[in-house]
Amino acid sequence: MSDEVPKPEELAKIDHRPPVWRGWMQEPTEIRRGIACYAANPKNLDYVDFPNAREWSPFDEDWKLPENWKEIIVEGLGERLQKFRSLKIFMDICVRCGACADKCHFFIGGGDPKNMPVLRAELLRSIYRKEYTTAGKILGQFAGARALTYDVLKEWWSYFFQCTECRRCSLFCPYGIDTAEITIIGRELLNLLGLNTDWIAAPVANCYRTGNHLGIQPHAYKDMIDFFVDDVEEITGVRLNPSFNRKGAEILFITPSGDVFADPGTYTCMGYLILFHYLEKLGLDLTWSTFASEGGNFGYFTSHEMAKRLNAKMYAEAKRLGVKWILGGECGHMWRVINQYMDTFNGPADFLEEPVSPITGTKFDNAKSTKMVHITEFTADLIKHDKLKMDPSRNDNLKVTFHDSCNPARGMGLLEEPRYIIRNTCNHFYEMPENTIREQTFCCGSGAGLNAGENMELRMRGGLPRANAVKHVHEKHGVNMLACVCAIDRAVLPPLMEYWVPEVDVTGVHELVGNALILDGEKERTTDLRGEALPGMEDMEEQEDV
Amino acid sequence: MEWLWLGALVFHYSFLVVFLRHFRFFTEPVPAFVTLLDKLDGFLQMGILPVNGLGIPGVYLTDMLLMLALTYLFLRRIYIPQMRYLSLPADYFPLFLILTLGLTGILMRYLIRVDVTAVKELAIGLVTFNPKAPEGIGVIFYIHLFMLSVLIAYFPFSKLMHLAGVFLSPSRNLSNNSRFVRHINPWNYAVKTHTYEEYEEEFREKMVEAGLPVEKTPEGAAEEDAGSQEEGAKE
Repeated sequence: MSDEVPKPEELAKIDHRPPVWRGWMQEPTEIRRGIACYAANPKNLDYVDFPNAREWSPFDEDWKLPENWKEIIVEGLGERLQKFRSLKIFMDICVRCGACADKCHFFIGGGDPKNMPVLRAELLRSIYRKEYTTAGKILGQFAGARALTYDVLKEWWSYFFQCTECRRCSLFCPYGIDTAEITIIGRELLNLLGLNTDWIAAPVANCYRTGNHLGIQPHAYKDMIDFFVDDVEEITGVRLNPSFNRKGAEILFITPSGDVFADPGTYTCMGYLILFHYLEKLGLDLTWSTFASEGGNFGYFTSHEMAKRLNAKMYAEAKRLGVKWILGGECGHMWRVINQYMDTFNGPADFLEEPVSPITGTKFDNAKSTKMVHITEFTADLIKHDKLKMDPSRNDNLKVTFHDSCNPARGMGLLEEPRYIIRNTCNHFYEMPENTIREQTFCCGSGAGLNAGENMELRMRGGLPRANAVKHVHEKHGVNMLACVCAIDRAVLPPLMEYWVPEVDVTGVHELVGNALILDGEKERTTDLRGEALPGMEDMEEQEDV
Repeated sequence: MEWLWLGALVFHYSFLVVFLRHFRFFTEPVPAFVTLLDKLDGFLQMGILPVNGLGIPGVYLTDMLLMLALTYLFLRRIYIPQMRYLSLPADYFPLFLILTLGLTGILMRYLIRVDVTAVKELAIGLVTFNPKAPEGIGVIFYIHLFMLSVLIAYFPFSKLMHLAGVFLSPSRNLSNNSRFVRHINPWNYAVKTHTYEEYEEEFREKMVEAGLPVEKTPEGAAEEDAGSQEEGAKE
């Protein structure tokens, strides 16, 4: 972690009171290190034909904008007002009641008043009023309108990249105003001027080229999975045999590339592999793909169009391989795109069949149009039909709580399935307080492309409410493991926990499955997938060490 | 925040009842539901002057609730620092409008009485497009009427459009069914993608080497060339 991040005791001193007299429109914008991300590298914008690719830095005065930048923004906004009913309505109907004000994790953890969702949206609304409403044109500031200036643009950049599009605020809005939709449009407009962060632009370019955010090339992707196969063999004595890019398989499996790359996602990946191996003899016929090797979609953090361009490869690969349906791994925003957009973007998937579990015969009616099933739906169904032989006591060293990832929980309503799996694979499960889970879940603070390294202060602030809830169950029940169904969570919650609640570790739900599942012909396991001694096996470890 | 919801609900429902009660001025005969509403709303027979019955008709509950709720909604914008910071003149203006509207209405009913028969004559004149202005109604009524006119004129250009918006908001009126019901985007357009063929073209040698299946088997010579180039680049 960067040395520049203040100590937790320092960071926890938060002042939520905005200036008394000065209105927010008079407040100058400061692009601050620790909060802002670095600018996009021009080669990453070029690769996907984004405009105005150039070297620049948000910390400089001059952002090297095209001369007609105002025109581009105003026209871009106008075009989107025509296209998106959500935007048009959300621009008009806010009454600034303030119901959302204290619901944003960035405001709670940081106290910057422009991180109140209502003000984040007002940043854009004020320009909308000036350019596109009669009242705004005539009445100006009285009607909440202001002119588009260089400072306004910088303010947009600053605050639309301090929003994780988690939608918690929208839950409390009487009109359902979804700040994520506003941030999405705000970022889309900024991208018209080549204003992006590299933490988003690089994965987008990578994903376009290699099929995944991390830029893992096909042979390396296979190597990494083979490496897990070796690990699992060492732990269980069973050799797995996953297949890649195999034509004629029944199911294509797509998961975020974070799962094959970084701990603790890798253990979740081992969990998938173990589950698929277990199911093979029960009739599972599944292939991985090195081309559709990314579930996530950082394109979604730049523009709808880029999201569509990256998402296209899921159906394209399913069609090429001739599979019947697609199974998707544990990921957050991946599922918002699949749930909300994929069918409309790149459908109809009429070359696929309505998903049916080959093991239980369950028809996944809820996915009959997208033809893509979430792995926790799939696994929960297996458990419900008693198809999995498991030993939950292998997870007895864990006291687990569950963090609902924003997009699966609020975005698509996936609330019960992960819990059902956890309850069946672990003996100790404790919920965090009611107003911090399920639909009301607090964001990890690093979603929507904000999981960079240079904005660690922002991330630690944004994650404070979540960490606070974890701390509560840690102190009350001794919780030591935070489970989640999102690859970004698995990447960002460990440093967040280390910062606020160092005693708690992070796991994917399928890591728990992998630990509990009893494979045919496996040897007596002494360690879990992380290589740590299983409960009651601590002595065995020592003996082996000697 | 629960107080906000309480205040807002009390305000909106009181306003609705007050609005509906006003139908007794515009209709002849007065519809039964208006009379009923009138009775329910006015069931408390309280005297607000020291001397009971001194010109005070039945007090409407909603009159009181409306003013209380409005006052609360106004004060919270001033007293809560975040609310003060995010409030615009356009947020105070409708509050003042409705407060004045309510105040003049209450004054008219309870203190500075006006000639209700004449008011009704005027109101019916308006709704039948046969306007007349009977004499002797009293200034206070015209202030009330003016505030109402301003409110109606201001309505479509302001945040008051949330009245319509609350029913139009897509996150409220669309169900989250896009995994099982296909939604068509009328302006959906084709986008440039990176196809599998382009991908395999770039990585074919490496894929073959790693034992991954490919669509086009590379020619032996090309494979070696590309291999050695690749290694050269790495060094």
